[in-house]
Amino acid sequence: MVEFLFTTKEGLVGNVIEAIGGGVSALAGIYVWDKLMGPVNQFLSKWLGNYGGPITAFVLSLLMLHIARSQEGMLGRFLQVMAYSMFGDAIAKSLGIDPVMVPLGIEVQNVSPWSTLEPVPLPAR
Amino acid sequence: MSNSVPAYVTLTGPQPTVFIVTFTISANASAGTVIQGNIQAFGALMPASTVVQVPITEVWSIVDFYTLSTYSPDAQIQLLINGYPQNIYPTLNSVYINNYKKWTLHQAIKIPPASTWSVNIVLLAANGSSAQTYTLYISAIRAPYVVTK
Repeated sequence: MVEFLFTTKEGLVGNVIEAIGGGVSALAGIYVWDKLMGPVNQFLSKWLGNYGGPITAFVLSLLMLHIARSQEGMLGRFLQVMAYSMFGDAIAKSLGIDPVMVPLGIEVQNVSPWSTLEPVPLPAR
Repeated sequence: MSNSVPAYVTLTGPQPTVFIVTFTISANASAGTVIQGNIQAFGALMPASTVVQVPITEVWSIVDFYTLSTYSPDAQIQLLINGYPQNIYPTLNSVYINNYKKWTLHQAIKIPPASTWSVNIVLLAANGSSAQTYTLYISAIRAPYVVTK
């Protein structure tokens, strides 16, 4: 049964499973880029400037796609989508668009300063 | 429509509010007397209390202290958060709203989620022969707490 669900490309079940799998691996890709590759990105940005993020992501995505090609089935698909989303996330970040990842608690954008413990300067009277 | 389910009401965004704190000064109270304030934090329908706990889902930011009249004898205001005196000691008369050089905060005092806080005053001189009540207003913003990285 499991084999059928993951190997079939036909029919509704296959498409739904594929969409869910794609979503999960996209989230995983963004998470990996955010948490694990963040320091690598920062390190390389010293030499590459603002292009550090996209360039690193592109190189890493190519590497992952290369690995993905040699993997059949689920793992290959997973790595492929991860690679694409890592690259997409890095491009988005370099353009100043941060994806809102509330469900995973990774990224929260446009939070009111009243809602955090960060200091809020008050206007002089 | 009948049988509608009552909605759970909660804070969804920053909301300005004013806490009213009253201090009862007994007759002939000596200089240095510490008086704990009774804080009306959740509106007129809820009883005032000497210690207020911030809901665990919220963060409160104090933006101003003020009084609507001057008081004699003057008293020093102490704000305590989780039992720790905060590093501000304005006097009641320095926060009087019509004071030209009114004492102001340069940045909001944040009261973290689930913290308890209280306000007391220290009399700077002895009180006269009749008891009196001082009222201090604290402007604050209540907001839902959001965890950021």
